[in-house]
Amino acid sequence: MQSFTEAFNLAATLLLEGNKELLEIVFLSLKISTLSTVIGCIIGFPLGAIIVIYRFPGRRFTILMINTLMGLPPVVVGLVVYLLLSNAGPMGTFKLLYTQIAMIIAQTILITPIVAALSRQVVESLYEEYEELFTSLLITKASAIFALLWDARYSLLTIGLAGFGRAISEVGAVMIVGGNIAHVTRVMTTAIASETAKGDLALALALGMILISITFLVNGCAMLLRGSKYFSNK
Amino acid sequence: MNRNDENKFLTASQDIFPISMVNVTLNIDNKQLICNTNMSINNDGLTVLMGSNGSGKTLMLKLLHGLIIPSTGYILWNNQKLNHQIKLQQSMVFQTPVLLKRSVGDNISFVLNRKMRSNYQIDDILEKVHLLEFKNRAARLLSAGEKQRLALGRALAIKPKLLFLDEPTSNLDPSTTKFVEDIIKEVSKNKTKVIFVTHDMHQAKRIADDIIFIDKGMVIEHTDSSDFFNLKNSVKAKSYLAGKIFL
Repeated sequence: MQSFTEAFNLAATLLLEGNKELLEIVFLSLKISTLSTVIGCIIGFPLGAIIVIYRFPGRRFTILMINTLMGLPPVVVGLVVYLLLSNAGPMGTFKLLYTQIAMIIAQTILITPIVAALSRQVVESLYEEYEELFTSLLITKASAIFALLWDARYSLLTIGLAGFGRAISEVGAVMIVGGNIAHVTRVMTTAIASETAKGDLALALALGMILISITFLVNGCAMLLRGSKYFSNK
Repeated sequence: MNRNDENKFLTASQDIFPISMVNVTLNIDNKQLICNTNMSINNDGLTVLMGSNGSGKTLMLKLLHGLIIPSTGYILWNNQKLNHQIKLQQSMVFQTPVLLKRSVGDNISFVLNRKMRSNYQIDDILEKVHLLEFKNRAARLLSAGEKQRLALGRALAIKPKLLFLDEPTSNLDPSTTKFVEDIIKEVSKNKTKVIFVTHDMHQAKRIADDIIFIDKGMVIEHTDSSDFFNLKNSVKAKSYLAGKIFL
């Protein structure tokens, strides 16, 4: 049985040697997850705020749906995206299956409800505080959305990171729609799964450690950023 | 926005006085909180809305400011219903100051931008409320008195014709209270109508030109301050001044 020490040494060696394949996998993971998170935030932040500000028929049902979609099983998302993008599917003509775009689509679908639901909660509590002021100042709803998102930016940053954490650690959906093709769609999580299946547990564990280290670094950066608001008194 | 644009905006403003409440009632959860109110407020001086806790002072203020719509009756502004142009000429300071999670200066500029007024006034406004040195500090880090001064400065930034103040000094120490009162008196002298809510009789005596006394959602009387405090008033008002509580 390969030990954790062996796995750690292998991870360190691969990184220090600058193993090209490993770095490719790491950078692809970061690229896919970052783009998915950015798109998820671009959709999710305003969506959360719109649900707070506007009153429309089916608003409560929308909230219920978004909260429900937070717990979407990745394999189900992967399957749905697979069916949409496969040659026989409605988007088959775009030939996106087993591409990085397909992986971004799947991860965005997973992240957006999380970002939207958590943003709604943050913006709602802020809006309760601001509502009378905004009414008094005749702030338009569109302006109110911008003001609320700006004033909640530090909390939204944390939400964005939660989305990134979900994206980078996700395996089911990207495996189905990406196919784990070496040098094309292989990311850390799919590589871990395939190396485990092949019995190379040390490499799989090494990749796992790198994955955890990246998540740790991202959260550390976020903590520093959040801390900086106190230093700048903003 | 330049000064010419600002002047155009100012000349577009219309006369909003007198304010008339006609048969106004307010019901919330089947409970009548404001009862069949008829009164008129002109543009002279500083009007104080006075009454015991829960008498409906704040609701009356919010009705006048348009934050709440009456259940029945209507409010007229120089014989017109409330419209955007009328709303633009009002501002309000809440009992608990609501400040944006931004710097002190940004709290002022937010209002100036929204109200189509130029940003050159920020320093003047902060100077007026003695907060210029805190311009770049986070508003939420200010003390209670500083927060209320900032809220007052922000309300004054749009140069309102009508300023609503909902117990703005209830949580302040005597020196800050005096500072706020001095600003309000100065504003009142400079053609801004001030409607001020308080239950503090001494404060009302210090600042009021006329007093609207409210009890259980009803306007009991609307009279000159001197008449009110010289006990030329109703039994209920006399009881209130004597420290008796209505239940």
